[in-house]
Amino acid sequence: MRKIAGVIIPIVILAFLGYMIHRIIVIKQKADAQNETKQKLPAFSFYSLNASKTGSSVIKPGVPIVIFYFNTDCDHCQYEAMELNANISAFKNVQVLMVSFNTAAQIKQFSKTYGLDKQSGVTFLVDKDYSTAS
Amino acid sequence: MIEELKKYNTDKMFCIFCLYMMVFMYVQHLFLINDQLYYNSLSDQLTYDRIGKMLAFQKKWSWLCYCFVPLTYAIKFLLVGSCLLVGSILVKHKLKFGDAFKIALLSDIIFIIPMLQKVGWFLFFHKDYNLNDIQRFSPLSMINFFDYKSLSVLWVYPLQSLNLFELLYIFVLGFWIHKFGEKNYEKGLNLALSTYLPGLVIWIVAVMFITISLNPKI
Repeated sequence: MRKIAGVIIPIVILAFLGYMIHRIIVIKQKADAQNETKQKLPAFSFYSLNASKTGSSVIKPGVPIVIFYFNTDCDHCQYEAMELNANISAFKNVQVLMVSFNTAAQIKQFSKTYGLDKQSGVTFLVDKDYSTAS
Repeated sequence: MIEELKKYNTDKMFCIFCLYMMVFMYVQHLFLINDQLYYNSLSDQLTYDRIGKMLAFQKKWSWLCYCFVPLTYAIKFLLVGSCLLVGSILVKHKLKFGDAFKIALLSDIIFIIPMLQKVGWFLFFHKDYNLNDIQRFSPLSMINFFDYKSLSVLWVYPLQSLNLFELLYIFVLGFWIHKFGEKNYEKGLNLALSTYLPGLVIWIVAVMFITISLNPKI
């Protein structure tokens, strides 16, 4: 009896341990793959203010990028644009993409109002197809 | 002294142990983990009003934490005792379950050292601490060789568990097994190593398994 227990108990323990380790590895690999995907910006399709379609090619390679998704009527976005213009020197090595679902005319007016139309590092894009707005 | 401890009633001993632990927990909360610490640590993330509400809720249910002390220690000693018992049956050494439970209890006293060390460290040396510092404080453990920020949450518990006190615990287990019937210390230590160590590995893997199952995105 003792001999049988001496064989069965370690086998059961090892099987249980093996199952748990296998599950840990599988779940961790899945999580790592998901995290890896999150690190990459998915392909997108927006329009420039001249109504030409533009995609991921607008991004300058090797330059850090900041994307602001805004609405011209939103108070927070207006404040953000004002602060961005006031602190534009902090963004000198950064590419700033300002994306909105408003019309090109509204966005042009917005950029003029907050002085961002003169900033070379700031690019305005139109999300005409509502591809990212939700 | 050792003979007295061996003969002492296990239930009484367990009650005294739990009572000491509860008093220690109370003192720790009184001196280390107070309201001010919560306000200092969480004010960046939460409003004062939210922290106040959280603390009120915590105080209302704090008695529950004290109730969990005997429960967690009972489970721990039962598990360690069971490991020792299974091992002793397999090596034909007749250890009673009450003795195995008592061995686990007496050996656990060693873990009071890191607890005292923690209180002493934050009370006298590292006075400017926050909640993270308290949570991450694990003296003489493997985790100190790694950078906390780059480490996955999955590895925190296993690396914290691998510490010098855990090693000392095994030696103390061996000592008490020897005192409770094994012929010599070496045999006691062998039994402790061959039973507690696999048990600890299973426990750590089980904790990792539960952690990753509850939060697969870590």
